[in-house]
Amino acid sequence: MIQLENVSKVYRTKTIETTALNEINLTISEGEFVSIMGPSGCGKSTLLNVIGLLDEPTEGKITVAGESVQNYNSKATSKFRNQKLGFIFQSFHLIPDLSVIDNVELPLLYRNVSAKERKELSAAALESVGLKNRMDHFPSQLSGGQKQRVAIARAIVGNPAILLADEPTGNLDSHMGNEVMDILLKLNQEQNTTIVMVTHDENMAKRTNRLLRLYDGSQVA
Amino acid sequence: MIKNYIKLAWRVLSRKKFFTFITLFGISFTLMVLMLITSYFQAEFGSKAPMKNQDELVILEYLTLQKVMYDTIAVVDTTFDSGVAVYDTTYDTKRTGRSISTSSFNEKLLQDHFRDLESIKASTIFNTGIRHDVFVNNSKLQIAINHCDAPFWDIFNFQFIEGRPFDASEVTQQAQVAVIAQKLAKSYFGKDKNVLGKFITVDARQYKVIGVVKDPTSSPDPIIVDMFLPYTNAEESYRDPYFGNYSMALLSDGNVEKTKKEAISASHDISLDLQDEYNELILKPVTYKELYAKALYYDEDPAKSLQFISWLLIGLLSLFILLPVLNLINLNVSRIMDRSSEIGVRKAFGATNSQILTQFVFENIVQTLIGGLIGFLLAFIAMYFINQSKSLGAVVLEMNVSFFLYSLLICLFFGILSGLLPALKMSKLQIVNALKTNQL
Ligand SMILES: Nc1ncnc2c1ncn2[C@@H]1O[C@H](COP(=O)(O)OP(=O)(O)OP(=O)(O)O)[C@@H](O)[C@H]1O
Ligand SMILES: [Mg+2]
Repeated sequence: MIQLENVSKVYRTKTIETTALNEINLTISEGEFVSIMGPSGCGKSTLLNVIGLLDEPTEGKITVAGESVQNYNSKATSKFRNQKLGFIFQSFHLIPDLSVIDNVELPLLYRNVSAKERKELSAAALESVGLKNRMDHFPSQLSGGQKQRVAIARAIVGNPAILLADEPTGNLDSHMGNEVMDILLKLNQEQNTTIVMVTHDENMAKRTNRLLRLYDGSQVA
Repeated sequence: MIKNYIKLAWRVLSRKKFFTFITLFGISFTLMVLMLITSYFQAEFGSKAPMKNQDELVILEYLTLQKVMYDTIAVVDTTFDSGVAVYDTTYDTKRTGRSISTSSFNEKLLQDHFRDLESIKASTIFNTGIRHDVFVNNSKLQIAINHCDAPFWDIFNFQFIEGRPFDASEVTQQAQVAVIAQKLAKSYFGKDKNVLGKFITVDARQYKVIGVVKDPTSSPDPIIVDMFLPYTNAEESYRDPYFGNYSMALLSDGNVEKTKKEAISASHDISLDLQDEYNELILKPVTYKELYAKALYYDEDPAKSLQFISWLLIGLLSLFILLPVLNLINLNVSRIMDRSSEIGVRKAFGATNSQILTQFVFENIVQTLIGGLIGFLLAFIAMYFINQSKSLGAVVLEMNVSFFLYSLLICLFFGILSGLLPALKMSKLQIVNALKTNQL
C-alpha cells in the first residue's frame, strides 16, 4: 500500500541543515495499522507528511496505493489526496470560520457529493466520535479533546483508504484516548483502512499491528 | 459548486464582522462619494433639456478692449561727413503699459457682426444681468429675468409644461409677453393652475404669460432664470458702442473650433472708432465647458482652463478611488495571509489550487457586490437629501447607473486582484509550510 525507498528529507536554513528523515525504507501493506514512536523532533511528523504528499522528500521514491504519486501534477495530487487519504493533524487544524459540521464535510466538498448527502455523512461521522450534539458549534467553542474528535470525524468522513494520524490521542485523557483508539481500530478492521499513527503512548502502540521507531530521522526498529 | 462558494463566502464574511464592516464601509463610502461627484457633473454637463446642444455651443460672453500705451524715444545719432555734422534720428517705440476694459456686449454690436457666421446653425443674444423686483400679495419677490430673442428657444430646448415660446415677430413688435419658469409660476400664482394668459407686473409693465417651462436641473446663467422676456423690452443700461448687457450663444454646425475662429475673425472687422482710447479688441469665444472651467480656474486661454480643471478632476477622482482600493488590497492581503493554514487544510483534504483561488475570488466578489449595493443606497439617500435641501441651487442630482457600474467594476477588479494574488502565492506553498505559518 505504502512504499518508501531511501527517502530522505533535509531542511536547509541559512545557518543550519537538519536531516529530518535519513534514508527511510519502509513498506506498509494494505489494511495494516502501523504506529510510529520516537523522541520529539526525530522526524515523525515529517515522515507522515511525506507519505501524505503534504511535503516533498529531498530524495527517495514513494509509492502509495501502487501509484507513483511523486510524478503527479498538482491537480492529480489533489484528487488523490481527496479520494485516498485522510489526515489527523497534531494540532487539529480546524477552520475557525466554519461550524463543526462544515469542518467535517470539507473532504466531501471537493468531491461530487450533494449537499444533502454531505450533511448525512458528516452527521454520521460526528456521531461515531460522540459529537453529534455539537454540530453547529464553532471550533473556538470546543475543548481540546472535542476538537481532536472533530478532526477525526473529518478524516474519516470520506472513508479514505489510508488514514494518517499525528498523535490523535495526544490531547485526550486515557479514557477518551482509548475511545478514539477504538474508533480507529474499528475502522481498520471493518473498512480495512490502512492506518499510520504517530503516538507517544506505548499502550496505544501496543494495540496496533506494528511499531516503527525513529531516532534522529533514521528508522531504528 | 457556485452555490457552495457563495455560501462559504457569506459564512466567512458574516463570521468576520468587524473586518467585513470596515471593508464594506470603505467600498460603499467611496462609491457613494464618487456617485455624488459624477452625478453633479452629469447634471451640469449631461446632455439634457434645455442643454441638449451644449457641446455645439460657442459662447461670446465678454469683450475685452485694450489700450496699449507706447512711448516713442527719439535717438539722435551724429556723424561727421567731411567735417559737416549729419544728424540721423531713429525712433524706438516701447510698450509702457496697458489699460483693459472687459464687459458683456452691446446688443447692436452682436447683431451686426456675429449673426451671419458661416459655420453656425443659429444664434441667440440674451441679457441675464439684472435682478428685478415683483410684488405678490404685498410681498417683494426678487426674480432673475432673461431678455432674449426668439432663436433662444431653438438653441436652449426647454420643455414647455404649457403654452409656447415667443416668436420673432413678437420680439420685433416688443410684445409684452413672458415665458416663466415653473418655480415662478408656483411662487407668483400659488396653487392657481391656469396661469396662461395671466399677467405679471415687472418694473411697472404688465407681461402676459404665454408659456411655462420646466425648471432646468443644471446651473448655467441664461437658463436658470425665473422669467424670459423679448429682449426688445429691455432698456440698455448704458450707451456704449461696444459694451452692454448682452451675451451671445452660437449653435455651431458641428465644428466648434471653426465657429470660434470665425467669430474671432469677425471681431477683427469691428472698427475701433475711439482710436485714442482703445487700440486693441480681444474676443475669446468659449465652449460651454470652457466657460465653466474658466470660472474655476482662470487662464488667458480658455482651452487651458478646461484642460487644467479636467486633469485636476481626474487626478482627484483617481486619488479618491485609489485610497480605498489600496486599503482594500491591504486588508485582503493580510486577511488571506492570516488564512494560510486554512488553505493548507483545504488542500490537504483535496482542494485544487483553482478551487482555492475561486473560493477567495468569490469572497471578494460577494463582498464587493454587497458594498456596492450599500454604496448605491447611500448615494441614493444622499442625493435625495441634497435635492430636497436645494443646497446645490438649481442642480438636481440623478443616479448615473452606468457610472455606478463602472465604479463597481473597478472595485471588483481590485477586489479580485487583491484576493487572487496572495491566494495564488499561498496556494503555491507546500502544504506543510502553509499549515505551519499560522496555526489554527
Ligand atoms: N520547515 C522546517 N524547517 C526546518 N526544520 C524543520 C522544519 N520542519 C521540521 N523541521 C525539523 O525537522 C525535525 C523533525 O521534525 P518533526 O516535526 O518531524 O518532528 P516530530 O518527530 O514530529 O516531533 P514531535 O514529536 O515534537 O511532533 C525537527 O528537528 C525539526 O526542527
Ligand atoms: Mg510531530
